[in-house]
Amino acid sequence: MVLAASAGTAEAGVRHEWVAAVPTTWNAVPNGHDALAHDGEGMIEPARSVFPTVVYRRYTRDWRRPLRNAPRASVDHDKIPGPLLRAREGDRLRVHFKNLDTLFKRPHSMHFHGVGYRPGSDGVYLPGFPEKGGDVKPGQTFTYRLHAGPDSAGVWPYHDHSRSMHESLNGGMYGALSILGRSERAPDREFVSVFAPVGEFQGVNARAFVGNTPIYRARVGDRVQWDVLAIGSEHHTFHVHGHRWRNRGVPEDTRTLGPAESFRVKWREDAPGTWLYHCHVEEHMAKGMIGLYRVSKR
Amino acid sequence: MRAALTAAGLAAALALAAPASAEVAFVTAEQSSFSPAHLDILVGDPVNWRNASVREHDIRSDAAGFDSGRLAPSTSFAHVFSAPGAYPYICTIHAGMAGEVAVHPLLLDGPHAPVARGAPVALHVRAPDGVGEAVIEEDAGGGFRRVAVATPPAGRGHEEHDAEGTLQATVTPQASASYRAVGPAGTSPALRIEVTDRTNFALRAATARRGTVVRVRTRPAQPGARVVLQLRLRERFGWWTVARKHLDDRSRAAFLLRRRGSVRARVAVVGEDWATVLAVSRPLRVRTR
Repeated sequence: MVLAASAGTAEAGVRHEWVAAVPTTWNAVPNGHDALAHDGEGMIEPARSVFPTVVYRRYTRDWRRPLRNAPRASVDHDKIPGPLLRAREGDRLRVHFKNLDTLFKRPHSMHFHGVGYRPGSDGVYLPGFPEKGGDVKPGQTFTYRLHAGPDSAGVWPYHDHSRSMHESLNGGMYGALSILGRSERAPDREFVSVFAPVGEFQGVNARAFVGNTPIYRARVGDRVQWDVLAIGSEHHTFHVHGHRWRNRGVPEDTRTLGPAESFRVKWREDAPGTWLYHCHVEEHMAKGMIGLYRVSKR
Repeated sequence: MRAALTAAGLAAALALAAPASAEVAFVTAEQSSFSPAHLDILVGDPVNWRNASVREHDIRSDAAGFDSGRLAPSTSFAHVFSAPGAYPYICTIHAGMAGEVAVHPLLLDGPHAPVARGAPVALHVRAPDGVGEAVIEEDAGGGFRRVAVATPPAGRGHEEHDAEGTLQATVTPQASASYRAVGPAGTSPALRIEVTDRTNFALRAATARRGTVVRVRTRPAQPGARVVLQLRLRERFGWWTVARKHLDDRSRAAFLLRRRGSVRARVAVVGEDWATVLAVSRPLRVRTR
C-alpha cells in the first residue's frame, strides 16, 4: 500500500509518523577543513570531527525500513536534524517512537514544542512523576499523541527530554515540527536550519564550516521559507546576505534566537547568486556556523 | 590554589607544585564551552584554564576537589593533577559547560597519519620523573602483546633523560593496530596507528543508462576495505564524499554517479571512521551528458 510506505501518512486529520533513535557515526566536517581560515590553519583531522552518536531517524510503518529524514531540498544531508514533521493546524499527530540505541543503551524520549498534549505525551523525565513517554528504554516503544491547535502554526523544535537529554542534544537528537495555518499555502522551498554546537565546533544541522553545512538552493520566483531553530545554551543571530524580510512589518536581515526558540522567515526570491547565511555571533561563525545559499535564475 | 593568577604568579605556583619534567596543558574557557573539552595529561602536569570570553566563568571539579571561584575575562586558573584518574569539571555559572581531564601514569605519542606497512615508526613515551623504561604493547586484533621497550633516547645521559621525561621506542607495524605503554604505575591511553600499502588504483568511468558508472580495482588486493567516491566540488571547497562501498572479494567496487556535466572524481581507501584517508587514487575527469 502506497500510504503505508510513505512517511507522515494522513487519515482523516490524523498524521502518523514513525521515528526511532538509532546509532550512527557522524562527521561534522566531511571536507576536512575550514575553508575561510588562513592558509594552512584550517585543517581538521577526522579525530576531531568524527564521533559516534544516536540520532532520530524516520521509518516506514512499524519501523520496517528507514527513510530520509527530510527532502534533499530542505536539508542536503541526512540524520541530523531528525525527521521534518509536517502538519496543518487542526491535525492530530501520532508519533510512534522506538528506542534502538544499541550504542550507549540510554533511555530516550521525544518532547515537542508548539503543540498540545496531555502530560503522558510530554516526553519528559521527572523523578517521582513517572511517565513512560519520558523514559523509553532501549528496545521499547511509545506513541506520543499531539494536537496542532489554533496557536500551533509555525516551526517548533522537538528533542530528547529524557534523563539522557544533555548527551542527546550534544549528539544531535533534535528536529523540527513545521505546521501550516489552516488555509496557509505551503512554500515552494522549505529550508531547515538548526543552530547548535557540534563537538568543539558551532554547526548548522550538526555540520561546521562552508561546504559542510547545508547548501540551500532556490530559483528566482520561488516562495522560500527558512525554518530556523536554536538548540544548546547559546543565543544565535540568523543572518542571510543579500536578502531582507519583515518581522511584524519591520524589515530586517538578522534575527536573534535563544535556546529552543524558533521562527519562520519567508520571502519571494528575487536575488540570483551565491550568498552566505551565518550566525553573526562572531565566535560562532569562526567555529563553523556559516553556509551557502545558492539562487539560480529562472 | 583558589585564585586567579597572573602569568608570573602562575609560573611561580607551578614551579612549586609540578615536577621538573611537567608540561603545562592549556584549556580555553570560551563563551559557552571549554576547548579542548577533553585533555589527556601526564600525572604531575598542571592544567591552565584561561577565560578567553567576555563573561565570567568558574572551574569546579568535585572529583579533583578544586573550585577556581569566579574568573573575570582574560584571567587564568591552574591546578596540578597529582593522581591518575578521570576528573570531570564544569562551569557552575553556565549550564552544560563541561570538560574532563584524564590523568595518566604514562603518555604515548606517535604518527597521526597512516604509515607504510613494515616501515619503522618512532614512538615517544612521556613518563614521570624516575621512570627509566616502559613496555610497548601492540593490539592488532588479538589482544595486547609486548613488542618493544621504550628507553631514554640514545646519546643522552641518564640525568638528561630525567630532566626530559621522554622515552623512545621503535616499532614496525605490519597491520593497523593500537599501541600502549605499560609502566610500574599503569598504562597510557591507546594510540591507533593505521598501516597502509602503496595502493595502485585502476579507475575507469563508463556511461550507463542511469548515469556514469565509476569502477575501481586496487592492487594489492584489499577485499572488504572501505572505499569512498569523492568529487572535487567548488561549492564544497574540496573533495566531497558522495558514495561509500566495501571492496568485493576481488578488490573491486562500482559507483553509480548520477550527475550532469564534467567533474573530477577520485576513489579513496578510508579507515573504519569512513573519514581517515589511507590511500587515494589520481583524479579522473568524468563527463556525463
